[in-house]
Amino acid sequence: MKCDKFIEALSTRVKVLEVTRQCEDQVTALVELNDLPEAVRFLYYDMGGYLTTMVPNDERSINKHYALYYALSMEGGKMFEGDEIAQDEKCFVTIKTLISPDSLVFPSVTPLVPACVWYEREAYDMFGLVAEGLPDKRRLVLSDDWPDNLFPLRKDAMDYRYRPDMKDHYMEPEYEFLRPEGSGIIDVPLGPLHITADEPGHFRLFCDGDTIIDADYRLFYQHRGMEKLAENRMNYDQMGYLAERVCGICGYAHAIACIEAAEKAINLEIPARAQAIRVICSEIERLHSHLLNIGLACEVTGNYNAFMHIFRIREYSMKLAELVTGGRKTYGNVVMGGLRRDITGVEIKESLRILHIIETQVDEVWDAVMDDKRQMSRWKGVGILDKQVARDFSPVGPNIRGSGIKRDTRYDHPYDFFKQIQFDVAVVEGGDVFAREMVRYMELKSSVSIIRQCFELMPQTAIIVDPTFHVKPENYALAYVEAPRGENVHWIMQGSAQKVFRWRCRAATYNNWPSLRFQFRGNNLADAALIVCSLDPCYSCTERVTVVDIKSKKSKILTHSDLKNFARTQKESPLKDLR
Amino acid sequence: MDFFYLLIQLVSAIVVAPLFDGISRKLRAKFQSRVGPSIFQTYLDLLKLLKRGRTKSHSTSYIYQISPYLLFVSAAAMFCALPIVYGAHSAFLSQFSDILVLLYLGALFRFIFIVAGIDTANPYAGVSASREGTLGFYTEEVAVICLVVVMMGAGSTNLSFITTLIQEGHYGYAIPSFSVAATAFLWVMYVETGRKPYDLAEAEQELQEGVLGEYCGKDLAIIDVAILLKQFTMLGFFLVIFIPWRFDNPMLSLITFLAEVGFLYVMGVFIDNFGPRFTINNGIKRTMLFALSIASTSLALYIMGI
Repeated sequence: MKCDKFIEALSTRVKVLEVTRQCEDQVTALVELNDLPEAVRFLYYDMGGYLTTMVPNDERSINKHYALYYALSMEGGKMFEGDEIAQDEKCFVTIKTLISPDSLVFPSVTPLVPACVWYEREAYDMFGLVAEGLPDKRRLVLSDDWPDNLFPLRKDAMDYRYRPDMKDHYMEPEYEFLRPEGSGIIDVPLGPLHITADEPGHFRLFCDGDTIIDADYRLFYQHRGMEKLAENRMNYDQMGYLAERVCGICGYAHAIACIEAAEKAINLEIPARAQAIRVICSEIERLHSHLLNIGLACEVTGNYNAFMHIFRIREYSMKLAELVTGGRKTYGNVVMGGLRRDITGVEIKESLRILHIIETQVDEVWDAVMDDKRQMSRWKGVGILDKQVARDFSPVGPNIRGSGIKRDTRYDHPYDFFKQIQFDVAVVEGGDVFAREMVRYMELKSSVSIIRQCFELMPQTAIIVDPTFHVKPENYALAYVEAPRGENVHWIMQGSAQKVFRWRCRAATYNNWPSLRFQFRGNNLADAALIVCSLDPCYSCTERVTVVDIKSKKSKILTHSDLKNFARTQKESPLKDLR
Repeated sequence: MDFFYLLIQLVSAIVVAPLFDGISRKLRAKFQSRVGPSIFQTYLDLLKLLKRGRTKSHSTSYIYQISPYLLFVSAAAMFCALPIVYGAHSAFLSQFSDILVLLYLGALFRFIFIVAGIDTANPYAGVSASREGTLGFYTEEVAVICLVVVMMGAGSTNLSFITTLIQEGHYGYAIPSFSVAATAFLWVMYVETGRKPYDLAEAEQELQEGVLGEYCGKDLAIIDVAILLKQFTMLGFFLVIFIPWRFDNPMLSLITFLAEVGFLYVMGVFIDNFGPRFTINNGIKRTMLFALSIASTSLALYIMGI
């Protein structure tokens, strides 16, 4: 069976205590704590793996230990032609290890595999698990004034009623940025709130003159605690909607990934028509997300003309989404076992007409942008992501495909309807902003063709299976969807009473951030915003409503009807007595 | 009476400039497949800003407070130095109407602009202030070389004298060095108006949020008017030397002048609407080299005596 080859190779290196299989292409190997770094490194570099996600978990109620799961996507190093595992052998291998609650220490994998750095920092923030040997032990996810010894994702740590005290603005501790040594270096802060970024994120650029020598960043200003929210509180039908709200752009991909993780864990096969519609919707999402990003890459350099025309085309993709799902952006369509809404023949016909418009107009605008020498000179050679850096940090999506590495979840681990669909993976060499935008353009074209194929091949079946299913506690599985920005990975361990025990949501941008620092280096200060933009970052994705006015220290909880009334009438703002 | 006309010259420019800005915004919107704001939008923007109060951060000094007025005054002085409603016959006014006066007032404007930016202690304003200064290095020498050709050719630095000379046909486009200089000068004056692709001052999307990042309310409105006035002066500077259409009737020449400037201003949309802006050490350096070589050609032509 799949994966056995890797487990055999692994057991020659380290002692594998136990092997469990989650589903056809997912296997977990339990190793001893001290063997962890070597096991991950061996699979990552020697066997050709990429780090998909890492999940720390509080399993004291199950086996009296904390657990770490390093999930690796075995697909080959892809550094050169032929450096790739055969298509039918690609799979996910998870390295699991247990940590005793008395020591709370595990050996860090980061010195051997740099891609783990953010995951291991987060493991401390959320669970208090200390990675011994981790070069960078600062907080990642929680705010700097978060109380010590309070680790929110531990099952016993947080009383939901407990809220840490608010601190005054000036009392907040300073975040320590990693500052390069040397004289004459100027700090330029980009953020926490900056005009080019619609979401908060603090990038500290260290410049010598106009050149960025190094950069460091502090994100997670908007951590929403969704993982905690889902645990034990929501059932699977509700979780799909919660996951959809992880991101404003690739929400549908999150919803699919989340629900499929649950479906995989109980081996539930959904009808082919539902699979096809899921693919259609996620490709529509790719259309509007890529159009958004190409437009923004023009706008950030000051090319408003191209930006406006690209946004005009984007409007058609929203129209398309409305036809297929009934919603322009948030579709609320995915449930366990299938979908809530089917497409009629009339809608398909109209969709094909709109697809044709999108296809021709994208070509027109793209040709005009390509002909603009000034625009090309702003894009080419800027923000280069070196191929080796990409290999070390496992970025995803157009970010890595722009560096000439053929990594696409739709191709490596085909899910749903993708098994029946022909498409080319867009790979461009170069690693600069231009290469990434080129990848996006090529994907726009392939998305249009994928949607057409789906409409053609879609069988006339039901769109939902009988939703009587029983989850098995302690089952877990990984689900992956190629969102516009890269793969979104959701890992779900099921609990009792149809609830989730642990939900780990890893958005695409989470894997793209750590290597951003290398993309900044050596570039011009004026290109900093462009480089961030070309990543197509999503702050809120990475950071998973009581309204509080800091000034007057008053807070108010808005009721559903308050908000609905305000949304309808636009009068009598419910916040007015706060001001 | 001359002073009265001078006042009219200034006031009418202030009143009309936002209209042309509104027209260019509307035109730009059409290119971008948008409906766009009404052509009176710039008036409304200014009115709204004027109604708002000012804020001041702790790190600023009195420079921050007075610089809007200084900017306005220097822009107004620049505009008044253009001989539009008065000519060589008004000895008192035309003695101020000098190429060097305009150049120095322009430098003063830029100086205040930079100082005001640095004074806010906003890192973006500081960075873009330094860029504003760098931009000045690139443009000024081109402008000065062109003007040297004109000054030597006409034998005077007095603007109203040069204007008369050219209008009466004693000096002008028949002379190659003059016409070559006109090209480079128009280029530089466009750069001086601070529009894309050379608009670093308000390059809000890039890292440097612009010199004006910290200004708001009334201050911003005054600065906006000052910048509009400066843009008009810069285009007017070109028109006064290279395309002088002055009539005996001061009002007629004022109206023709405003129409000319407005036309140039709106036509600028054809340049600033398309393509991205330059970064300081790639695009600007390279394109200003072209302007410099054109200006040097005209100087060489002048030295050769043609």
